[in-house]
Amino acid sequence: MIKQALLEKDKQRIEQFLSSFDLGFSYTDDSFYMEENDDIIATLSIDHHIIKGLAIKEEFRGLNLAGELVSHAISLLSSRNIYSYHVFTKSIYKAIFESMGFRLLADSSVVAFMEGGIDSIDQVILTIKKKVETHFSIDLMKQDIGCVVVNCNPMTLGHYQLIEKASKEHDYLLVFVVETDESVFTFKERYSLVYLALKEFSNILVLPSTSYIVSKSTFPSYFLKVLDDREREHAKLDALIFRDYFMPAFNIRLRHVGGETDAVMVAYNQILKDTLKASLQAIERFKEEGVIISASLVRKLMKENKIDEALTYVPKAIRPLLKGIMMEKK
Amino acid sequence: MKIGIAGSLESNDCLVTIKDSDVLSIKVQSIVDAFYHDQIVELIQTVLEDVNMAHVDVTVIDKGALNYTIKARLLTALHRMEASHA
Repeated sequence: MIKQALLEKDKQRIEQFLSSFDLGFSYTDDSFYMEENDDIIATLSIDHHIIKGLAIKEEFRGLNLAGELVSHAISLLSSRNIYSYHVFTKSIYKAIFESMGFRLLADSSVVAFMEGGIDSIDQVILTIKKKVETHFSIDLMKQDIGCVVVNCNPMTLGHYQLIEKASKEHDYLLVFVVETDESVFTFKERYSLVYLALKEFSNILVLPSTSYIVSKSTFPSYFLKVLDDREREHAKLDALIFRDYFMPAFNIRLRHVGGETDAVMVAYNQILKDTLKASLQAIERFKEEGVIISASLVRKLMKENKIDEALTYVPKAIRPLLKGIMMEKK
Repeated sequence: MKIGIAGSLESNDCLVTIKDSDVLSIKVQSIVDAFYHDQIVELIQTVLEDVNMAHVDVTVIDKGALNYTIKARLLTALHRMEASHA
């Protein structure tokens, strides 16, 4: 029988069970387990639309307990109207998920990222691709395309200059704004600000990053402070998906990144570099009177209630809107 | 989009997902694909014809279900799809 871990005590037991598998996974708000003689023998967790943390005790393999757990997860997800799922699993378990109809998207040889349900990465990319081609009235395959992926929390002059510089190197530049909402500014706010700031460039199009680039699915650790080994594997998956799906579909020649100072971002950029190789181009951070303009500087000033000073570091076009948003957040 | 799901991935069962679509599409992945793939597809076609559903996208992940199980899961998924407002 499948039980849901509701009590802190049960969650601790799952954590302990998982630690013996070297999975590096933790429990979530929706963790399930199966028992035999009061010992946990199998477990699985859900985090929004992500299925992860599958582990089955050695002597209970071959009984299709994974099938029971995943079925349970799918029926729970459909009761929440979620019909597309992503899976994080150790690479060695990918065959189990493939036998349940999941499709492998990226495999770092330690961790695998898979998808199942009604949506697919191909459809999602095709939809955006059509949007881009209609917007510019072009055939992407015949153009020189560049790309940046930004969180812009919030958009600053630093981002603006990076994007402006990158746009000059290509016929068209695609700006993907991170869609996952784990930042001070919401996706809607960040997206609107980026859109407004870049409206003047006729060869730039601002797009949502989908659940496949730097999202909670592909790279949960982007939103953390430090990267451990497991998180490096996640970053690798994120880079692989970008390389294997986005670059060919949009005919992207270069992905531009800003020089970073933050430890997580330095590590992430290094992993991108290792995966994308020559297709990744780093651009120096812009300084104004010796100060590196960053979103964290703007957020710091906002926190100190120096809103007008904070606004001097963002593009003119977005100052009124950003001021409004900042006042609301106070 | 209207969606219906029924069944499970447990042994001798199957998981059926149906959504409305412009064209008829039937995907089957079975542990007995080598022997019964075409037969399962045929069964699904027959059921869909019986209930007059020509515009659906059906995905079946089969774990060795018997024909009447597949049929029952399919009908339940169709009912759920009709009742859904997703």
